[in-house]
Parts: sequence; structure tokens; C-alpha cells
Amino acid sequence: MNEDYLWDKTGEADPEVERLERALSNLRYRRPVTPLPLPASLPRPFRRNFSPALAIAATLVILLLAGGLWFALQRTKDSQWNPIASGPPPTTGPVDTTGGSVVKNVDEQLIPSPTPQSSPTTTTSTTSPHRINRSSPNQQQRLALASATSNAKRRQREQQIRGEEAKAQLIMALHIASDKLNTVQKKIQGNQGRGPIS
Amino acid sequence: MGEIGTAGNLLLMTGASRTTAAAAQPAMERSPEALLVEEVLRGDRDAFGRLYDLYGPMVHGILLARVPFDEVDDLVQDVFLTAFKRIQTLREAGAFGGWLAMIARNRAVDFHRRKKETEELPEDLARPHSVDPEAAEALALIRTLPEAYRETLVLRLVEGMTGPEIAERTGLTPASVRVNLHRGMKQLREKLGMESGL
Repeated sequence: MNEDYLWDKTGEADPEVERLERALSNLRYRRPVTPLPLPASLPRPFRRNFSPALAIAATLVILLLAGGLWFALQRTKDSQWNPIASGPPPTTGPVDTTGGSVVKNVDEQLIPSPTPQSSPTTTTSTTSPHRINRSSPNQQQRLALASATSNAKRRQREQQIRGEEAKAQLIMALHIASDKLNTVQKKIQGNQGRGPIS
Repeated sequence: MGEIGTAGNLLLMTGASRTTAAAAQPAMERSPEALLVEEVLRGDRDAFGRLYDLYGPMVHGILLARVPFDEVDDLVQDVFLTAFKRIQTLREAGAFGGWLAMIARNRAVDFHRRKKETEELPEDLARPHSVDPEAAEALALIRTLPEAYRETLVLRLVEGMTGPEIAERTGLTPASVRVNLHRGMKQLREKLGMESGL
């Protein structure tokens, strides 16, 4: 078998391939006399250049909106939360049940620290031998803990509510931006689609 | 190959007045088919006629390997009309051949599906009556081969294309075409031997 002849019709002709070629040439393509009935409207050139520009514009708009929204939210948050932020930190110490106010470092107030090196913020009063027990220390601790926990929970709830509000605002802003982009895209497509497209 | 060169030269001659010197250099690096596709996208119907001439044999061969001979001419027109309507979706002008070949293959599949949905034609109707019995017999044998071999052999033996031309038009690699041709021819010889032995 002459492989070159089968591949590119060069070299010595292969008799069997030649015989098949002759026989099958009757079936060969012949261009019809009538021209191809193409539609009257020609395909319009497909312009893709607007897509990257539109995508960049859309990204910029979304970024600007998101940035503006974030900035506004930050400002609102700062103005509302300043008192809380600058106020005393949440206390975990025992509570003076007589006055109802929070008392920090009961040991410090009652008994001076035995050594100057010891930390002044130490609050573990239950182990001090010099401590004066005015009421049950366990009860005081429980009350303090309950109060601190409820405070923390309240703050957490408030933060959660504000977070939800911010999220809803952000989603609304994104919806608006998306609607505007859709409108722009429809306008662009409308301008392109005015010509006849087959 | 000669057809492609001629079409490319014609295109360069006619398009020279419309292109600037700067644009002409990259244009010369592209294939003539790609330039024709770009002309079509710019609205030149004649350019599509030239593509029809260039790719008619390929589409004919692909269909002939899959559908009855009597149906092929109509389907060739269908394929080119579909290509004309969808040419805007072609992302790379240089890939026109492979894209068109895929449309032709899909059209053949669609033909068989529709035929099944309506009614099954008798086998003898599928045989070409107006052609040489030897050609019909050889074609019937080729159609028993695996699809890849069948298509390549029809393009080589019926349409008279060389291996490099088949690779260039269909978008297959020359190595694949070479393998398909030789393996297909080997199987065809075996079948022809069996036929003559009977």
C-alpha cells in the first residue's frame, strides 16, 4: 500500500485507491446552479467591545455605592455608639448589693495589698485571708456574673439589630445599582437590535 | 489548496484599497478563510459565497458519510444557511472550518432524529438510485466503518481532498487525519476483500 498516495496523492498511485476514487467520483460535490438562498438581511457585525467597558463601569458604580454606604454607616455607628464605646468596660467583679452599684476590686478597697509587686487589678478576692465577708461571696459573684451576662447579651442584641439594618440597606443599594445597570444594558441592546437581524 | 490561495489573493487584491498599510500587515498573517469570515461579518454577502465554494466539498463529504445520498444536497444548503445565520456567534474567524464541520455533523444527527420521529424509511430508499452501483456499493461499505474513519475516507475518496486539505478544512490535526485515513483504508480493504470473496 502506497501511504503517500493515500495521504497527499504523491508518489506511485495505489491501484485500489485509484479504483475507489474513480468509482466514487460520481458522488462528488457539484455546486448547485441556483445560488444559495441567503436571507435578505445580512448578519450584523457582532460588537463585543462594549462588554468590557460596561463591566468596568458596573464594577466602579458598585464599588462607589458600597464604599459610600459603608462610610455613611460608619459615621452613623460612631455617633450612636460613642457613649458606649467611651464608657467603662463591662465589669466582671462583684456587685455591692446594698447600693446596687458595681464595685471593682473589693479587696483593694478594704485591705491594702500585702506586697508592692502584686498587681493592683487582682480581683480574686475569695482566696484572700484578710477579706471581710459582708455577705456570701458566692452570692455576690453570681449576681455580678448575671448582671454582666445580661449586659453583654443586651449589647450583642443591639449590635445584631444594627447589623441587620446595615445589611438591609446595603442589599437595597445593590438592588438599585443592579436595576440601573440593567436599564443601561437594555438601552445598549435596544440600540444594537434596531437593525434587522436574521 | 489552490482554491484557498486564489481566494486569498483575490481577497487581498479587492480589500487592499480598504485597508491601511498598518492594518495590512497583520491581515496578511491570517488565513484567507479568516479574512473571508471577517468580510462576511462586515456584511459582504459575496464573501459568504466564496466560503460556500471553499467549504462545499467538506460539508458535502461530512453529510455523505452519514445521510442518504438523495438528501445530501438539501442538507448542504441547510448547513450553510445555518452557518450564515449564526456566524455572529463564531468567536474566532480562523476556526470557521471546524465550526462548520460541527454544524454539518449536528445537522446529520438531527436528520436521523427527525426521521425516527416521523417514520422509518425502507433501506432501499436510502440507496442512491441515480448513481453507479459500484459507487453506491463502495459508499455503503465505507458507511459501515467507524465514524471518524468514514468521514475522512469520504473526504479523501469521494471529494478528492488530500490529507493536509482535510486537516486544514475540518480543523483536525494532520496526524489524526493521517491515522484515520490509513486505519480506515485498511478496514475498507478488508471489507472489500470479504465482499469479493463472497
